[in-house]
Amino acid sequence: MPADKSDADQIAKARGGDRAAFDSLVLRYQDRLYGTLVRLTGSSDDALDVAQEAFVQAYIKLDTFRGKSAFYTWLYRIAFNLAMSHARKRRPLTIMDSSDDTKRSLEPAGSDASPSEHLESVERVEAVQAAIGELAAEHRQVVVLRELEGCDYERIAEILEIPIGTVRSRLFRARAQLRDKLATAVD
Amino acid sequence: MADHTLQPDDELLSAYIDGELTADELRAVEQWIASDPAAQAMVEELRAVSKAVQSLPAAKVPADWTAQLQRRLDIVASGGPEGIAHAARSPSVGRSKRGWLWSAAAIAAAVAIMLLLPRDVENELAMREPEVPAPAAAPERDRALADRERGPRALSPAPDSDSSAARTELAEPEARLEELAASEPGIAAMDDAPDSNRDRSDFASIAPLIEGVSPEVASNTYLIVWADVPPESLRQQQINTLLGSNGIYVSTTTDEWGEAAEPVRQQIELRNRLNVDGLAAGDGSGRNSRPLLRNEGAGFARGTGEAEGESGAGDSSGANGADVGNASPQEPEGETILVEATMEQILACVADMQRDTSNFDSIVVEPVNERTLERQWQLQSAHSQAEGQADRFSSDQGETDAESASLSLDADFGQRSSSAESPAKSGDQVAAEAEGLAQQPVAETAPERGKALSKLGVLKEQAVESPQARRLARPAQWYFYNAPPTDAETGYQVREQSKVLTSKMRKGQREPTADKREQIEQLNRYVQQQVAGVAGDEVASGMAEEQPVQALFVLRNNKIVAPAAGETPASESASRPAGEGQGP
Repeated sequence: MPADKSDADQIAKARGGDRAAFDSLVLRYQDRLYGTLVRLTGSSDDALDVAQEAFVQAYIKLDTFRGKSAFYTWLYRIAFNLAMSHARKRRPLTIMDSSDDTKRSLEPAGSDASPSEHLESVERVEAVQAAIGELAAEHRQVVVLRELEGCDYERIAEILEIPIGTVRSRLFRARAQLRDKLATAVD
Repeated sequence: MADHTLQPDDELLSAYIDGELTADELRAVEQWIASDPAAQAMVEELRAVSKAVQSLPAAKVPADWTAQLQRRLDIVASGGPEGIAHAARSPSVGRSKRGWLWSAAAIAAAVAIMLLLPRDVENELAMREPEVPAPAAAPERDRALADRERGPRALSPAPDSDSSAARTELAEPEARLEELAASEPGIAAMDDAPDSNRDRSDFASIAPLIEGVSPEVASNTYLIVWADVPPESLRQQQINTLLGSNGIYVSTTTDEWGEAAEPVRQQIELRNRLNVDGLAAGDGSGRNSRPLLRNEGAGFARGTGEAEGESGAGDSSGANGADVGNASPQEPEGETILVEATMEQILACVADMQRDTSNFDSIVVEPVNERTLERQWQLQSAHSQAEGQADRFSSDQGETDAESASLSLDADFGQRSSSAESPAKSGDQVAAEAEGLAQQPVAETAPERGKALSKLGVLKEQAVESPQARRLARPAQWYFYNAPPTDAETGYQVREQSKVLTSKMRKGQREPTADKREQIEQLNRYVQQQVAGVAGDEVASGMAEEQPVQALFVLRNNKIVAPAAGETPASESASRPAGEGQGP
């Protein structure tokens, strides 16, 4: 993952009590973490809650970060666990709600496209988001980590604490399901 | 394409587009794609899906989100959750200066609560009180939280005087403890100082509390290994075979628990006591989520040889309920085995359990060390402070005897009564004890903690001559009331609870990991991580494999503790309707 080197500097400073250093880490990763969590949880509100909580936890427990994995991986693990326990406490996961809050924070790609293209791409995005939301949690997790976080299988295995073989098969199954859903949706 | 055309090999095509094939696989797949148009089509489809997901727009956090996070970090940085730790650890604060202790704890608790509040409530508060709220500004917060508090404990906000502010402050921790206990990662917030410089000195402040134990000794020499097992396994004592194959032989007799592994028992019972008192009632993540009658809480025997009182097991009338948990002629509820061996051996056993999918499920490794104990004690003190205090003020609210009786557990901790005294004391007696306890919620239990913590260091000095293992008796219902931790902070989930296991599913999901060595190393890493969390970098760089470890294996009858999920293949073959009779 990029930015590992400068992460180390900031982390060292943050550990020494430099709050601004930690803040810079927040700014560096907040959007990415939030974005992943939105896909993972299907809810913007949940993602915002979990992301915030994750940063707070990371701040408090910064001492325990061993530096053996990338900072973001460690942060993501915290967020992931929070998201899972968050989900357990609430009602069963609601599929991506079509309410505005999700859309508001997401910028459709290609904002300089024509209105009709823009509309199409928005529809497409919604279809993809909906399809992801319909996946079982275990499939959604690997897809999000692979496609949105760009993790290799080993990193996914580390985050989810599953064997690499499981990563591979789950990812395949997830993609197959998405393919089926999108094939029926977009026409 | 219909699903039935998917071949198992198609999985390789997915790995192919990710560049995650071995050299051999790559060669084979390339040939395959070249010669098979269907494979080629599949590759293209998979790529399309992958691209579609990748092209989802980037997300941005809303503008005020970052500012809100900053505010929360400010609170933490100014010593929020740490305040609780300090209040709990300062016995030098005179016992009679109850007011001071309360205020400090109240402030800290209130601040910690701010951290754990769900966002919507916090937004509300943030709008009213942009600064860090001072204790005197309690009323707004009280009102915001009032509907969350349990009925009998709700106190009308009286913002005028200091003492009443302290009173209302403390009502909050009690209500918030529900969230505390349930919001698992949040609990860790109470543990660690946000400021690294202070971490080391925190141990120094514990020093007066712990008789003769230096912080360096806080290495992880205790582990608890939890598992749910089918009743047949218990009856056949499968664990003996497993331990034996790793060089550990279990003695044939069952002993009383006695004083061995005292910290372990404390930790288990502290952690689950919070569950028992119904704090986790709303949280579906705990296995003990059935609504607990208050009377049963009173009857919950926590030591050896204690009478069962009102506990559910019918045959434990009066006298010696100690053995019922283990060796009853009815279905065994579970078994507890204390093993003394090297870390390597213990982890090898866990690795074996992990592979033995028919006999061991829901495997969790829970470390016991100074930090984990400390955390439970903090939760305990916050809880008993709130309880004792609320007791005082709401005694006319009709709190039941059981409420006081649950405090009698605290009294028991202090008194170490091991005789067959009935825990269901008379109301007056208990109330008096509760009073006394509330006076010094923390300081009085200090010797208890000290003792437990001092035992943590003992094993480290001794070498493990020969591994030993013995069964320890547990009273009836103990296995039901005591469950493994469910949050990642407290315990490492080696294998999660399986739903219905069919042989097909098992193949797909429970890949026996390639190497037992790998498994052991993975477990070792986890344990190391736990140790590192305690004493920082000074700790030995690796967990020496020869390190002597006391591990408590707690095996619970899966039919009792998780009836819905107890359909392992082993139990399927011997399935009878669960007519154990001691089902709660």
